[in-house]
Amino acid sequence: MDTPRPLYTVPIIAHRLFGQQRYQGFSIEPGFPDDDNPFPRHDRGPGFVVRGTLEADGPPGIDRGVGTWRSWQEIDAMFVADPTVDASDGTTVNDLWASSGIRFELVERIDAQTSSGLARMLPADSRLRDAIIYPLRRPGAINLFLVREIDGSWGYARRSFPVRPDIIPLAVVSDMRTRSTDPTNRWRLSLITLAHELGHVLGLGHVAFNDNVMLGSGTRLSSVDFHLPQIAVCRSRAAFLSGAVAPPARP
Amino acid sequence: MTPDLPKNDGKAQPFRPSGDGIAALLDAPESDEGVIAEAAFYGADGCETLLELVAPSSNLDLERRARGVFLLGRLHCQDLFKLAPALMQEGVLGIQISLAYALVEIDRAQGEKLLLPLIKDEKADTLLREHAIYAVLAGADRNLRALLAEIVGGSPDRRLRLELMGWLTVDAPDPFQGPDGQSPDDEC
Repeated sequence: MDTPRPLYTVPIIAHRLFGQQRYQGFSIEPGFPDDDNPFPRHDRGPGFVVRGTLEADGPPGIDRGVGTWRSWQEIDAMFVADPTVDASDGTTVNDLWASSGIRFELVERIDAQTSSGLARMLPADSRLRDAIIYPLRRPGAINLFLVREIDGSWGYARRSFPVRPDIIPLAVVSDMRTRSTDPTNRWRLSLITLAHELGHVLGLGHVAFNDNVMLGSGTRLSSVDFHLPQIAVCRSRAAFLSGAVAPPARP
Repeated sequence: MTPDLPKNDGKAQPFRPSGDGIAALLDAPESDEGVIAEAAFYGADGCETLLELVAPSSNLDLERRARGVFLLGRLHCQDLFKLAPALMQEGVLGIQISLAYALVEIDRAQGEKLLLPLIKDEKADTLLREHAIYAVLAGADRNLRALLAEIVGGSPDRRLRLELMGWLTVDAPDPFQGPDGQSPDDEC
């Protein structure tokens, strides 16, 4: 099928979620900067962790040892092809969405911080994680949060509502670092999950077709298609989010 | 682009699982009601399969194992309590955190009994203690909230005190209330 020119470009503000340093003073402890070993059956040998800041009573600093593993280069490569990025195979989320005429564009990059425990793993309780994530959102774009792990899911999303501009659309995607030992598969599963969450933001629910991005009961490497009725739904919301159409007045 | 629609000859279709077994659900993007319903469809056999998949002896990757623990919690699988000591002992933080929430989900009283010693243990991982506190805090009564405030307030773990005391004081806003008018039901 011919790939149509993008009709709508939807802006995305990306947030990398990290922990915050609240340690008193400064210490060097045995261990590793990360809190657990992704390969526990392999001994990593001795290591050390530098904890704390010299300004113990100042505002908390970002603890990059806890939170997403993704670099900005890697996140950019999820939207604009960059085969030089180690984790990437040169495909993007926009390739998956190409048939829809909708393109996503990163317009802002933010390093956000929350409690180190929550940055390590977002809990499944939506009330708790909303209390963390909601205040960090910015209006005027889809807010994408990159987090290390989410309890019980690979991602989640909140829909956009054209008549409710006060509800800021949200997509959250985890790093999925141990999900596959094959880097190409890991990259593609990340893209499919991101495309799936953006589908939710643009109004789609789950389907039972194995070849569809919105498959709800699993994620397959072949789950890469959208069907025409889905595209119609997404375009109607993308028109507002892209700024091409002013949202209707609220009754 | 044309969906391959199932041919039902106009007849209503009974609930039909995706056919890939309960392990395939560990790949589902979210754990929504459809996934939980399908997991429940596999019954006791499904729980047994998941218990094998999440056990320390499993070859499954750590994130899928953590998801398995989460699903066992949602399925209220009591046998997870038997496996809990081995999973805690193994020391993989992601799995331990999922376990803390799952145990409280399955049986609040028994879960609290297991988690309170961990919450009090100053030698335990500070991030795991933080999650164990969140796990028991959701739906905690006034007495438990006061006990948690006492434990955290008296802890030498400065990080834990700074992160949590704001939520544990009696007059603190309930963190389990959504911060704006958006209902958690809107989530997908």
